[in-house]
Amino acid sequence: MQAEIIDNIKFTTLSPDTIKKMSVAKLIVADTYNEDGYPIDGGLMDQRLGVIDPGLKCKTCGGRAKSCMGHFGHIELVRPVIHPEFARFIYMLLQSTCEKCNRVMLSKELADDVKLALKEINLNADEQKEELLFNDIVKKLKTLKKCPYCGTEQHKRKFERPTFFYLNGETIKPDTIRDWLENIPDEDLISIGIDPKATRPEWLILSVLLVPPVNVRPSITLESGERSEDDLTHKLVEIMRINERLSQDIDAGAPQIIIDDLWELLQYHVTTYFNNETPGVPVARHRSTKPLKTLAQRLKGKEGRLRYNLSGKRVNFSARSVISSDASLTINQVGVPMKIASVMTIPLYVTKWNIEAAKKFIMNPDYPKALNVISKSGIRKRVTETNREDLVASLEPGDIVERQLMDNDIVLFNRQPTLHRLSIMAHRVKVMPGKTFRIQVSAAYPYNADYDGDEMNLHVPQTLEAQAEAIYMMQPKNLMLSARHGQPVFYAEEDEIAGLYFITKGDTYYTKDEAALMLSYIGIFDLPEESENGLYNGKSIISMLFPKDFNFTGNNLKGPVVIKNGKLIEGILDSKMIGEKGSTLISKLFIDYGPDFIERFILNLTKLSLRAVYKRGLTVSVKDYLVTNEMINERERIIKEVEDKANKIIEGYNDRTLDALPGYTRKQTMTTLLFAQLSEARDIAGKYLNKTMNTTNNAFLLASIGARGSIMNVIQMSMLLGQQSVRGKRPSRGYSGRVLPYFRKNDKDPRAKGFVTSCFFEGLTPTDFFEHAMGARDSAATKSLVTAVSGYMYRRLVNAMMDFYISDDKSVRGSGMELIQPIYGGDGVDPMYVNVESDK
Amino acid sequence: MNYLSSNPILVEKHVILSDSEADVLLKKFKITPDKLPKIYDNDPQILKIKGKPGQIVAIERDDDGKKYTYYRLIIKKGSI
Repeated sequence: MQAEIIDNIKFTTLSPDTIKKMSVAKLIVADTYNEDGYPIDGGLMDQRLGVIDPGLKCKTCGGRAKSCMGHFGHIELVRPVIHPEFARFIYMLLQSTCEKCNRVMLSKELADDVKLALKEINLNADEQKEELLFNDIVKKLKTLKKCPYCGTEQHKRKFERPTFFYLNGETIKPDTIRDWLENIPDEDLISIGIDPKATRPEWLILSVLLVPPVNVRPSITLESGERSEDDLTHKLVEIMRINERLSQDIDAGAPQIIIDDLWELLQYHVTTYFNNETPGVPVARHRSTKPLKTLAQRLKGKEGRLRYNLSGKRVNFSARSVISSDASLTINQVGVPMKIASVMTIPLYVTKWNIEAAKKFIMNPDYPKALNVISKSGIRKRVTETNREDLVASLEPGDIVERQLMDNDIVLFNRQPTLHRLSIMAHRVKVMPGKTFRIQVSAAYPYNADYDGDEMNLHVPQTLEAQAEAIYMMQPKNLMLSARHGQPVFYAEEDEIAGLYFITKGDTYYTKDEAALMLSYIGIFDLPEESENGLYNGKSIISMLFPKDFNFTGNNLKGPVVIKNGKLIEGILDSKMIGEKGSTLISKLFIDYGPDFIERFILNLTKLSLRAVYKRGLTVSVKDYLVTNEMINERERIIKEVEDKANKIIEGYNDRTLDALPGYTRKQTMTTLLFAQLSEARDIAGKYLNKTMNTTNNAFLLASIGARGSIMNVIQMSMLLGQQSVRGKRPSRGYSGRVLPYFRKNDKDPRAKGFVTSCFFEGLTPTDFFEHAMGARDSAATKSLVTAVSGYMYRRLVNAMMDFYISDDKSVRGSGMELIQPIYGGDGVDPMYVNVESDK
Repeated sequence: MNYLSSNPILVEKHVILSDSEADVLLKKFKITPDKLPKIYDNDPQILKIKGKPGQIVAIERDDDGKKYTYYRLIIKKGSI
């Protein structure tokens, strides 16, 4: 089906006649219900405007509460009022027309010019130019002193928010304004951009007020039997009440001041009826001081009709809970609490092949039971103790049985913010005790989830089509590779990396009992090859996870890794092999053996590695960061080395032997070089630690295999904090010419400009402490700013491009088949399938 | 300064497609001309090759060695 193309949409205003034609009832009583709770005729709940109480019939169409969608009514205002949303527009009209003859003050010649310009604009359909033209005209008209037609001298018009107009300092009331606007000839209006057929300016002054149907403003009955009216009804009652009083006072010949006061009050109520947030107007409130939600408030903003109800919808068949981790699930599973599984349903479409199974569900009094039966005719019946037999007897193919959620059902799992497609994936249900959703530890990464209280949503697809789509396109095991860079998004982290290190480091041997126990946890009941000493090497145990024909060569963080015929021959499995730093091994296994194998493999890897790390035990203590005399000496040496070099640069600057770098002044050159030179101190310290520390130091071990932390953490704790940076440069601000009052003014010395030589273990000197705090604050502030800004930019880009797709001819198309790119990316290559050699 | 007379090396080559070439293109992508990306008729490159609204230009792109052709429909400035 080809959608119709909308050529244009025209918005116009309603004339009083149109309103009267639309209206089914003229409302005359400023009240809603009588004492018996029955709608008053001619009141705001008049039955001609539709009905909301069940049992009553609409007096216009005869429909019941559900079938009648309501009819408009109207109120006739005894004195006209300004439509507040058009006040500025009315001001523009008053300014551009003559105060006496009410014609648009364009001279004949000018009017002809405008007509000519308009013709051309219409020919080119140039809306921007059209707007500019009219703006220009009005600007010119404002300044005219004399009407070119009647020659009347023009006085100053003044507009005061929200709805007050003055001519030469004197108030002009809405009725005068209406007469004025009524008098503007049709042909004049065209030259200031108004289509008189669509909108006559006098229609902007309200003499008849349209009243929305009762369905738009239903009253609600509280538990106590009390009726509570909608905010719009409240407002309309007030408008009518004032209107009535105004009418009585006019008839009784009340003094003008009293009438004017009431008139102004009427204007106030109408203004707040349209928009209770009109600037310059006191907000209308409930007795409880809660502001009334009137027409504009219903539509506007985040909680308005558009963003809350139209752009955002609530769904059934969904659940939300806190998530926690479970290492015994596969990445493809989700642990669902029994409490949730027993409430959520999945439809079982009854056929002659599954009718027996369906009957079993209906008869079952306990957990996997049917909750509802929907007959072919669409009648939904709850399964109860009493009607069970009857339902089974009448069950036939074509009926739908809604049964409780069971193991292996397919569900969608989502974490907000839903930034990319991996934020919603399809998991297989595993019903569990407890109250949280459980996911495999490695499945958290694509959701960007952790377990510090994160909540996630679960949706149960209700049609077979939706279930099939979820199974084929959304299961984690099929989505192993990131569409962005082609590397796995599920991999081992932290403890698992540590565990794998212990298993694969080569000199770990397990007894026969230990090996058998470890392997039995992952469902392997064979023993690996025995080594010469009668024990089992960790490498041979991990090899049990690989297929017998698996061959692999690659590099980990330290050196080569070789797997031959499913046996790990050389190298350890670190974070570059199976973790965040590349996981080349997982990627190769996925490509060679497919999704089902990898699902199993990740589960086994997790279980085995965690078992190994529990077995050995691993802890990081203060001892790991202990500063030895040797380290103190080395630190002194490093500090002296970089400071000597730095001082040479300063010297070079002072005796003018230092030449400026291209595009820099000499001073800038010095600061840049100094910053680079001093920043090297940490690198040198890192190299020293790499040389002297070994794997008996757990902190260093964890960093070197990529399990947790980095060498930088060890350096900052045991050696020195190094050069601090503020805005990418050495700290330089604070006091005039110096960072802290402790230093001399214009001191160029490294330590005066954020070169921190103490470490966390020994404690910071006061100056070091403040300099470090400057750097820390700067990086914290930058980080929070950058994430907010880049996140917003990313969202805008995604929103702009979200419905682009790659067509079967490899071209990129928009939602209407429009060509975005003749060939995707210029080469038709999907980055997901590009083999990234991470060593290169 | 007349920027049209200069020879900017960074701008891709723009070529106007003949009617028959345009037909082949539209058939290949199974679209009408209005579904193509657009370019204004007052674009410096279009002025240089004297393109008229309604014509299609082929832009020969070289993205770091990946060569491919992009197509745009010339439209009158202000018509969108």
